[in-house]
Amino acid sequence: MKKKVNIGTAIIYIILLFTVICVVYPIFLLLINSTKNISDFYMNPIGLPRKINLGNYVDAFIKANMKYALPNNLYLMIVCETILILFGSLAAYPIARIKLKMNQIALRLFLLGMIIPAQVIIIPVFIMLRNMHLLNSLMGLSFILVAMLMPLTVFIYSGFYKTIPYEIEEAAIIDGCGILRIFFSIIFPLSKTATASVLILTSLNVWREFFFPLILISKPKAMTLSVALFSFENFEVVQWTNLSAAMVIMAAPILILFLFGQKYFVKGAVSGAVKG
Amino acid sequence: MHKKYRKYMVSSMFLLPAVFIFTAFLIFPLINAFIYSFTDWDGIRKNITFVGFKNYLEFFTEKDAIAALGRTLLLTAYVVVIQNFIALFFAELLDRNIKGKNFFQSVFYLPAVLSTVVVAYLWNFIYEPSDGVIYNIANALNLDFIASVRWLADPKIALFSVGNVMVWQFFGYSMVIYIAGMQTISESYYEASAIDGANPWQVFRYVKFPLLAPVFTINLIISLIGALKQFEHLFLMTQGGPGRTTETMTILIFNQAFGINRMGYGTALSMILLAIILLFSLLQLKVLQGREVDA
Repeated sequence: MKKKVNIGTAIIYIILLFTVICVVYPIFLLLINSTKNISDFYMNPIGLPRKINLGNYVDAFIKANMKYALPNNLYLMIVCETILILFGSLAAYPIARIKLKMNQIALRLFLLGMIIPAQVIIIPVFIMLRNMHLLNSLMGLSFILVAMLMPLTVFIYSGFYKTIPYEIEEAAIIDGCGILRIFFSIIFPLSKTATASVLILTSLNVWREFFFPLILISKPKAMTLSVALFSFENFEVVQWTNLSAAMVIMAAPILILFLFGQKYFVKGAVSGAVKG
Repeated sequence: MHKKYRKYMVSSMFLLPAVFIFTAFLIFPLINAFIYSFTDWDGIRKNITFVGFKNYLEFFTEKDAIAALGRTLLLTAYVVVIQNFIALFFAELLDRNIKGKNFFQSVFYLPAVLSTVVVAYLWNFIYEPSDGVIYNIANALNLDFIASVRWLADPKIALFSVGNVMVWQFFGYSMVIYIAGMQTISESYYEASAIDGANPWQVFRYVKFPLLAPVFTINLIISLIGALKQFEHLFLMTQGGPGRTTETMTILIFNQAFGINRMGYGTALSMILLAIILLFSLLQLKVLQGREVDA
């Protein structure tokens, strides 16, 4: 009896470990290739480097415009998150708490937005931003990204608000608090978990966003990391070595955050998809 | 009376900022797109001429356009089935008391947090015919038939090669959702099935899987919509090639609108894609929610 269980478990572990290699090896390869110089790479494309060489990173920062792209990404993230959390947490409140037909319509409107693919609106958005002189502007880009991510944000917040016992607001009303004060001093601070989920899920999407910045931003200094990476591959002479370095620059912040906060990433993904 | 008025006031005030930005930058463009789809605009001219349903008719009569739709559906079917199968498989493997469960969960989820550009270029390297990872490994193992496969250049398999990348990136995401679903199944079901002498496969088929119906629905919808919308991997790895064999609807839309400046036709195509996505979502909800009630 005991022997049977052990063989089964062993097989499971073998399958799991093999899959781990399939997942991790490419990423590991990315890291080590970014430290090889070209001749080292051609002699040995998939093994460990003979010595670590950081020249590729200098290349990436300068030729791939990463020295502009990296701060651009950070700026974009901060702007988007601020607007998303502020507007989204506010909007979710009446949807969760106040029973009006208008609020349900708003919710359905947001849900519809989640299905719309970027391709459908890219052309009108391009024209619109062009007319507003907001092309090549991170601000303009942030507006459209906020619009795309607002449904998810509202969804997460309203789901969370429903778990807050109404007695808390009742008590505040009896104490004579105005609704805004109730919201900002009581509800919002209580919603830290929801804010954390929103932060993780949306900032990930903002960081990685490729399609909108591709079309809406063409000036190298205003590019985001994803477009800078694309443009590097397309317009400069690249080998896998310096391209890898540029890819690492883009992936590293997220990877590091992931290493420390895996739990939150997974939790966030689940809460966005599974109710309760 | 006063109370109702106050409700409207508060709701409007709270909703306004979010609804405004959402409507201005999503709904309004959507309506614009709908209008453009009835024109033959090229994005630059000042005068726009209405052409009625001409763009839509063109889609249904042009061989290449229908082919693109076919590829979208084929890729979607391939990715959705394989991704969910693998996700369920690993969710099942991990839904037991083994050491390192959280480690495996995190590792499998990792590709989902990477940027599509990084993943696409990474796999370009893996698939590369003469310097790439698969080639080098297969060569070292003397597996010439694998080493000689031209993953992204062979018209017959290019589409599926890109599909594999999508599965690699997102199976972990689907998996953690299944795992979360499995954790809500109460122990009593397992105890009952143990008493009945069921083996693990039977437990899965008759107990676990039916109880996973809501999570299955969600995963199916999410992966389906994601696959139908898929653009970036294809754009970065094959650009619709070789020839047009990986030209899905999304690539076609891009090429028509930005490649040859047929903005009117491009938006019509995107409207068709949107309709398809809506259709599939609603269909799925109907069919799968029927199952959920039974469970």
